[in-house]
Amino acid sequence: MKVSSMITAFGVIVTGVVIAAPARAQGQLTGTAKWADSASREIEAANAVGDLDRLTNAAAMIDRVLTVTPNDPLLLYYRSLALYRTASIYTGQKKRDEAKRALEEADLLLEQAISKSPTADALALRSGVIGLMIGSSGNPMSGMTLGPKAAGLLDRAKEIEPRNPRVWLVSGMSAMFTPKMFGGGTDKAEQEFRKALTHFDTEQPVAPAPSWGRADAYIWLGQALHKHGKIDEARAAYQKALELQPKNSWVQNVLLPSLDSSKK
Amino acid sequence: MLAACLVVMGAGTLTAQSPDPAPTRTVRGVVKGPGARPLDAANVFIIETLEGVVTHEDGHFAIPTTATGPLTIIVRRLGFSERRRLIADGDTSMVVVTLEASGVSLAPVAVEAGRYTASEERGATLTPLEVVTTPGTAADVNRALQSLPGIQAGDEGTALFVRGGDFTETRVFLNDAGLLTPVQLQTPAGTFTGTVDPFLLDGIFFSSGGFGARYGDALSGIASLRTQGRPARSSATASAGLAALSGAAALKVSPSVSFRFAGNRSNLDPMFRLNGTRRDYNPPPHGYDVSGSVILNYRPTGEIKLFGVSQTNALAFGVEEASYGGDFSVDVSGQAGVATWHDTFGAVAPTVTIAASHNESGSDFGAFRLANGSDHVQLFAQTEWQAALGAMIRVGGELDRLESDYQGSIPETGYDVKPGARTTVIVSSETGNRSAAFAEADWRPFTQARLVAGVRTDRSSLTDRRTVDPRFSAAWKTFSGLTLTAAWGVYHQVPDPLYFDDSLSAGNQLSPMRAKQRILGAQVDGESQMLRVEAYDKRYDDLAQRTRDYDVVSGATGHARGVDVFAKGRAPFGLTGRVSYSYVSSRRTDPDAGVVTRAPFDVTHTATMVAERSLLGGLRVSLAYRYATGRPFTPVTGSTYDAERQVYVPRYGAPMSERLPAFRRLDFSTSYYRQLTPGMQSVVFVSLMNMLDRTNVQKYTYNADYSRRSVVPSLFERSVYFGATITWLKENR
Repeated sequence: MKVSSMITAFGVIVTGVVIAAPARAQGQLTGTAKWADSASREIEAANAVGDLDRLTNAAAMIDRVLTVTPNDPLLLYYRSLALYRTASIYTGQKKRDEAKRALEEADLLLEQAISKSPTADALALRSGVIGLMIGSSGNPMSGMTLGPKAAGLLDRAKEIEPRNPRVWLVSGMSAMFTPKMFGGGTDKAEQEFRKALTHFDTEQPVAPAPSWGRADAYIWLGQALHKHGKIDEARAAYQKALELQPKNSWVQNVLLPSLDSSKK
Repeated sequence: MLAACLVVMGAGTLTAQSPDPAPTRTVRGVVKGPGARPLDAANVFIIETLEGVVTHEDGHFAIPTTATGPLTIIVRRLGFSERRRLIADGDTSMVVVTLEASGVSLAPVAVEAGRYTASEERGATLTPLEVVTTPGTAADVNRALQSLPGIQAGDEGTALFVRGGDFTETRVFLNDAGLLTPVQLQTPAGTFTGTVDPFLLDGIFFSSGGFGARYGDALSGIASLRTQGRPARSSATASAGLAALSGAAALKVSPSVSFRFAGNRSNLDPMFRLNGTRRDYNPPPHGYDVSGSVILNYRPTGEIKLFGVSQTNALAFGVEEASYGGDFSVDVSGQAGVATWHDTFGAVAPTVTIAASHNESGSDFGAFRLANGSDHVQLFAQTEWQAALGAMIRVGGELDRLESDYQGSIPETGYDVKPGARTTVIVSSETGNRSAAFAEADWRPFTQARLVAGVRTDRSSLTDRRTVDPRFSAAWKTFSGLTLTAAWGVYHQVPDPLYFDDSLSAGNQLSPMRAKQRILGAQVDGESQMLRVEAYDKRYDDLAQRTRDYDVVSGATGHARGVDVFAKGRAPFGLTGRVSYSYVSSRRTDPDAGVVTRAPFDVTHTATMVAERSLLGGLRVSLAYRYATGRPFTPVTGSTYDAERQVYVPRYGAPMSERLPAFRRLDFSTSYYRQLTPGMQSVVFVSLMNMLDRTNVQKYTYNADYSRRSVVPSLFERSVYFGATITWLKENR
């Protein structure tokens, strides 16, 4: 019997007391709105310029706050958004494993957020996360299992908030990658991006509620138009995006040059 | 509290939270991953203030802060388990945090500072904190492990009966070196002493089955103990309790060289005087242990660790058998030294361990007088090679030499143990040389799946047979957070060297004992809860066993089937806790009757519940409840008188046809912490063992003619224990 060890044990026990006490007290507090609002702006600023480090820092900051308010659905949502943005960049860099990890984490967090507060934004973002999982998996068969799940989430989001622009943005993105014979296609995508932009015009979000996506809608509309060969309209859409995010590196460095090369 | 305030107030921006005053200290360190490789993109922050940074390629971090007092840093990274570290006030040393991959859950359970995560192997990890904070464990590693599912603990002994197997089927490793498991001959009333002081350890890995090819010579389970590395700073601790005095010191000589020393002296006499005891001890359990280690970190990825320990334990207590009543005395002493080298060169990470130990024990009860000495030398070497992203190759081998000497006399029959009874004289010297090699591939074909396939081969000079053990395990993590696991493997173990003595085994050639394991499991992980269910089937062949007359018989068979359930998480009223439940049906050949029947450790239901709550002001309370179905035993149904020997010869009923009463016990502990000065902290504690004062039955004993049986009570009646400890921390730049 290690009685002497038992004595020392309590020194260690108390360490746990010191650590655990603040965490519990903090879990009951509110006031995370400012953190959420700051996080949302930081994520969008980082995403616009494709700054992975800045996105990682934003995600890390939310993660820290989540340590003391682990069930805050808005913070869970914004951490997921940061991870989704991060995964999008990784996917572009062909870093498939890193993208998968980020998407899996985002999916888990959104599941948790939806269990606390099933908002249209959370449902739509989760649908987008799963859609990116399908796209980045490299396995076309994954669409057969995950596709219906993503579509179901979008349907629920549209039921809850039919005029939410981000729901239509994600819906349009989904349509872009879904074959026409399965209910997708570029035509449908274009319609839904336009619908999203219409709703952005009338949306009056109150911080810290989600307000991102307007520039994304123009960017994705531009891509849909480009696919239709509507080069000038696509350029106009990209210019609109640049008005909102003047330093958007994807538009400047990839999409606009792509239009120029198409024209030639 | 500061963190809570920060959250309440919110932040203006993410990069400039407030016009803070100049920082008064900086927490520095490095984050490493498997193979001691620096990790980038790890989120490192102080929980009390939420100040933090994200690591870059070199894994280093520096967090300036104005906070005073002890701090807790949290390290998180995608694909890895979270780690927490306490930083003492004034500590400016480099903190090294090593993260374990957790991308896919292969392991059933892993415990880390109150959180369960997946670990690299199929098994569970416990931290020393969990070992010592479980009420009723008396800070014993084995007793804490008994609170995990899959271990049947039908009494208060420290033995690990894993999934319907005998305790000798579970092997304990210290820094990759196997420790000797004492055989039951030493303690007829059940094992009593534990293994290693938990405060010498910084990690424990436990597997209840399905473990990989790296581990050999064990049929059922593995407990792998890892001693502490270099200290963050120099410190000293002094403790005094009702039954023990102890001291420990950690000395950081330079950033690369550190020493650790610890010594304990225990004597349960004052505790028994205060609380009383149901057993007659003469003398009560007493002993000492001293240990020391030298840790040399000669470069960032390289470490040499030398660890030595010397232990002595002794006790004597009254035992009443039908043929004789008297003191049973046990003396056990041992010394062990383990040297470990580990480094990483690019994608290759070698490990070498050399260990030597010497153990002596003596048991004395009537005609039973046996002294044992053993010398054990081991060499273990392993190399891990990260062949590709998601693919790890592990190859290694071990050499093991065990010399065992037994001298003394063992009663010729189990029913006549009085002094002067006929005995078998034992003068045995057995040397077993075992060599082994293993190879294992650990492959993640895609993120949600993991496959581990390995094979090992062993050969012992005692059995003169080579064995080949293939082992496989697989895990698949579904998108719903559910992880499914499966394992299959063949396991061999060499019988105890004593069993090879001709006077006991009657010249029988003993084979390596064999078990085939099949396991299916599922685990669901939530934010603060986890649930795991695992079913298993284990088939035994070629078992070597002792009869009640101390003869050795071979060729026994058996099987064990069961289900383990484990849940951990937060509960209402601020409680945290864990519940484990095990169902097992274990049957094997009865060595006396020669028929397959219940195994002696067929404890059908085992349940353990542990609840903890931290209160304001440094007060913490814990409660633990244990239940176990009574162990089966073979009853005595009558007797005949042997005039020649002048002793009654018992007549036994159907083998293992009765059970002892169920085991139940409730334990409570509480502690109060106070920081006396910035460098000094104290703890006062009180614990109450067996709160309900239940008389659990350890076994039955009989009167001389076996006409009446009586209860041998378990060790602990309701007992209070108290003490205090003071820790002094010195800044050591």
